[in-house]
Amino acid sequence: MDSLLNTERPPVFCPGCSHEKVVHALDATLCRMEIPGNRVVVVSDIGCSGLFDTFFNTHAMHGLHGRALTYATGLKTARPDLTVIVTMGDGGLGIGGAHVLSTCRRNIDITLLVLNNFNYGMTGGQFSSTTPEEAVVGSGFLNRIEKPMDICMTAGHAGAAHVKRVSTYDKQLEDTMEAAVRFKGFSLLDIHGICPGRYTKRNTINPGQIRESLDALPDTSHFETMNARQDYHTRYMEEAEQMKKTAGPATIKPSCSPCEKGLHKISVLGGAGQRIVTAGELIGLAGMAAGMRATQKNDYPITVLRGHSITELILSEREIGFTGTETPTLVLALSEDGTAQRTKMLENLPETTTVVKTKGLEMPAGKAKVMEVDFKAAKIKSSDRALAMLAVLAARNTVISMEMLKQALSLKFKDPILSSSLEVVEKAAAECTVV
Amino acid sequence: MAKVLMKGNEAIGEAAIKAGCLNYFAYPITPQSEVAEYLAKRLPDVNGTFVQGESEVAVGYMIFGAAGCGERVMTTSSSPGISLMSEALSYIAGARCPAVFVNIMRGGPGLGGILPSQGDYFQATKGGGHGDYHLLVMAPEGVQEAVEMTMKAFPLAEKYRGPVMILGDGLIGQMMEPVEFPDNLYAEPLNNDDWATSGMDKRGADKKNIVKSLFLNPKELNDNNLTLKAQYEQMKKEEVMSEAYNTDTDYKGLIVSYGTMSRVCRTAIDTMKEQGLEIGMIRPKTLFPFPEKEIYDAAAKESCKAVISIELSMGQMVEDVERCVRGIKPVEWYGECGGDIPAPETIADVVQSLLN
Repeated sequence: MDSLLNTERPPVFCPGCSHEKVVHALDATLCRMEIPGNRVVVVSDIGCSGLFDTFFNTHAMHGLHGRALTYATGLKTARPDLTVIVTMGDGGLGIGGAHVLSTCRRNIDITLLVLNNFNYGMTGGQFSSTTPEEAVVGSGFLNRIEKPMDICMTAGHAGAAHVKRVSTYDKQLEDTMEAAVRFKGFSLLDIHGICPGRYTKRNTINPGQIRESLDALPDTSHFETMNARQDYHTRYMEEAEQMKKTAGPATIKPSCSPCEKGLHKISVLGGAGQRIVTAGELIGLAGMAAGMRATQKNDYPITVLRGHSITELILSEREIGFTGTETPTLVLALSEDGTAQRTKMLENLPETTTVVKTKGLEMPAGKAKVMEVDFKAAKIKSSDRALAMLAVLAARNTVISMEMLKQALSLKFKDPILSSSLEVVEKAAAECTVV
Repeated sequence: MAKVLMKGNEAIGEAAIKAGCLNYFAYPITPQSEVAEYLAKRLPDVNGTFVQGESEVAVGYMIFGAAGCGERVMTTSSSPGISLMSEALSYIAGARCPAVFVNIMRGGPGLGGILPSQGDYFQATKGGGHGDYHLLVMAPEGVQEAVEMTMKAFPLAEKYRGPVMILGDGLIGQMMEPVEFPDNLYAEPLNNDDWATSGMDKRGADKKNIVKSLFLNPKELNDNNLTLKAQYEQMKKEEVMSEAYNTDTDYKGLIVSYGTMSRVCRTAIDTMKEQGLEIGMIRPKTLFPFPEKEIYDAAAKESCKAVISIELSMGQMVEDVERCVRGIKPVEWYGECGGDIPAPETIADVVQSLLN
């Protein structure tokens, strides 16, 4: 296969820059793997390694500092068939640290080439996340304070399986690169090199020293077995295949008529665990089964397992504008957790409001007409009381009819929950005394 | 037509699927987390993919990547999350990639609260990220409209090759309403991918596509910005959407309000009408482009004594309303932004006292 290098724009790095060798090695690798340019996307970060995208006759995405792995992830997710090569310096590595770790964990099938030259070359040679503590750089003594990062160990411990160190000057650079690109999953090459423009002005570094320092670093081959697993896309597709299909949203066709026309503003006041939100949804579905319009709003604290749970419904034959229920026409009160949240509203209730509450619940009710339901005597447990209250309403044709409620239950539930819910409804309708 | 009862957030998720969006990236945040929860289960059904990013920053750029290869893609978040994505929005706009962002606004600034707000009007319509760009912003007033706007957002993003935002508020995300998913809003992708990172096959193999926002040559950068500018001008001509309410009367005052707040105003207008006071309303459905002419014309009506912008913010849209009214009538503002939504009675009181 012919070279993928862009002849109109030859590499323009400083003389002696190791980046140029990496450009040629990448080209040679893609050629010997025979991956055509239209199947490759070079994704670059920023700084000198960010120039890579213009040098290749492949597609490319150029973004910004530290984020290259994120848009590479988006790209690979949308087009898993493309080969995605990310180039990033030690600068981008530091800025995009969290993205590097997450990409290792995720195991997206992309290849990250870290062009590690131990400083921010383009901005003037400041220290980066890999600058040795003893190096002299453009940041005064700051690099002596911060410990440099060994990206290979970090990546391996974050879950990357294919993690290799290599010198720009190693003969096996192309072989190493090919193995990384072939690897099915996230692969990271930490490519050590020389920045003649900045770093070597103040520090002595040569290929021999790079080889020596690489040899002194811990081996990374054990990560291949330790982190061996499927890449993200393959695993996702397998999981998706096994997942039970969702039913999609249930459609509702009006199948009965409302038992009480007009505008109903319903406030259900209860506590966590009383299935208040579900009861609200059932009221909405019941209304819709009778061809009415419905809105539902819920209110509960961030800690969902304690405190109040409130749901507010509007049922109307006309279009619903304002969805507030400051003055409800019907209040269903199941616990003090709920009523305590709406004290002011309850104190000001007019004569036209009906309050249905659990027997014994102390609460203000203004001028409203109050009814009490004795759940205890009927032995209905707390988590069933909201549903039981709907059954009590339905038995009296208040706002919802029994037909509407049963339609709502069959829209919302399937067996066995449907039949157990219907049992609660029958029991409550027959046995709950209302005073 | 058969309807479904759905929470706004879930309905937005389903609408994206109905619009042919198979790529979704998100990070959980109240009050929009249900979109992610819904799509985590639904996308595999349709061979779509959901990646939960490590942060909203990451998500913003995952969108960039997927959009950059020409695929339909969406994210959803809420105010603080959108701030984190604003950096990416600027790059996506600069690199001219179509993508859909949904902001289910909560209170701010900072963490604010988790209740509904319209405090991100400026961020959505005037920027958020750096540089000379706009989002096409649509603001639904309820669950049905959220569905329709989400479905329209994808073809619009492709038409203009840029990010489109659905600006809802916490109430629209959390509220359940009956909805239907109109088949006729599905549109085949417009892109021929001649610019995307997957486009070589279709263009002859020697020309590569680079998706980027970097133009070091001053002329190239200026040209790119002029292209964006031309797109925004075209949006102003072709995409403005608004709704007029009670404007066929001799109204004494004109309300401008959008989203959840406009529903309260509609009820307040009905109440005032019963009491003999006619008030009109223009409800912007697109916030950028803004219904400039509609507002000016409605304000110019002889019977109209004043215009009032009513928002769940401390006065953001009012600046655009003032701009549109061009001084021909006094422009006032009313709003609350702690999370409580003012009742119709409050709105009626405010409007009546302003007119007296």
